[in-house]
Amino acid sequence: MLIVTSGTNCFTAPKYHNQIFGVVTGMNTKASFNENTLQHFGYEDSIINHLLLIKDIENHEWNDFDLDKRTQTSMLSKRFFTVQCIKSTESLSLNWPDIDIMKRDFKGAARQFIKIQIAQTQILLSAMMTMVRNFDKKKNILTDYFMPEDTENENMLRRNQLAAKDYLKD
Amino acid sequence: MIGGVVFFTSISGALSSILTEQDASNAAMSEKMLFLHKLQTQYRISPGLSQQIKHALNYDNKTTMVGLDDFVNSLPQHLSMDVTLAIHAKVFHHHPLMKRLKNKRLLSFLGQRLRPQFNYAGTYVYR
Repeated sequence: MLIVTSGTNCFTAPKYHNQIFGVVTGMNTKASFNENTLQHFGYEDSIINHLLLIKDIENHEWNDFDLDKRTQTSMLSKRFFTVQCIKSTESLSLNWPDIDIMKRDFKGAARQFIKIQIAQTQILLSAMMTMVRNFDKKKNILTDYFMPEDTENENMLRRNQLAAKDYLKD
Repeated sequence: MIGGVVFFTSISGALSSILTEQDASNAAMSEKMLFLHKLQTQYRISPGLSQQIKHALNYDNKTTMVGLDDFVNSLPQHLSMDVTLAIHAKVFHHHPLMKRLKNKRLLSFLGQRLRPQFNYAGTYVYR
């Protein structure tokens, strides 16, 4: 897990032409005051892997051997999200064994920590779903994917296209 | 008095080991700089690239805290907590995740375990 202190990283979707759906900034940047940006990442994959594990347990009638096989560390540490650095980043990293110690020795705080991670994963998943839903829709470079397609957006699109035409004329 | 002597001995031992490691890392750093200079003259590496290499080497050298664990562990418990909290004070006071955890013992534990990392623009952190 990485706690970003300066610089900018982003969650990208390689299957969708590397579209960005989440931004992680350091504490020193102006963007860090924006509530839509995140300040740490790396634990979301574990949350997703555990959700998939719960779903698998519900869908299959496994015996202890199958369950042991499915709960191996290699199966629970698959990366689900891709994170790319877009501005050189300084961060503080926390390893899995240290997180395991935290879970064992500081149970209350670890519960709070995991709750925060689950909330962040929900935000990321919804952002990713919005990005996937709007991926094929018409858009231009000046409007982002998270805007709803209403008349105001269409007007903005038209205005932006006119502005671009004027700019190209010059 | 005996306790004081033991405490002083352990602290001075830890400090001397840190200073020795610092000297070793400085020597390694100057060796790397010499090698970079050789590369520059032999392969005519562009000034921009060599500047980037220097920046990376300097960053690694600054952030490598080889003896930190030993030093912090050698201190009495309350001091080791205060030292780790002081090292990462900015992160612990301003980072939203840390602010929400609010457990001094946990923050002290995390402070000892956190390792600095640097990523250049364009690289994949996780994929």
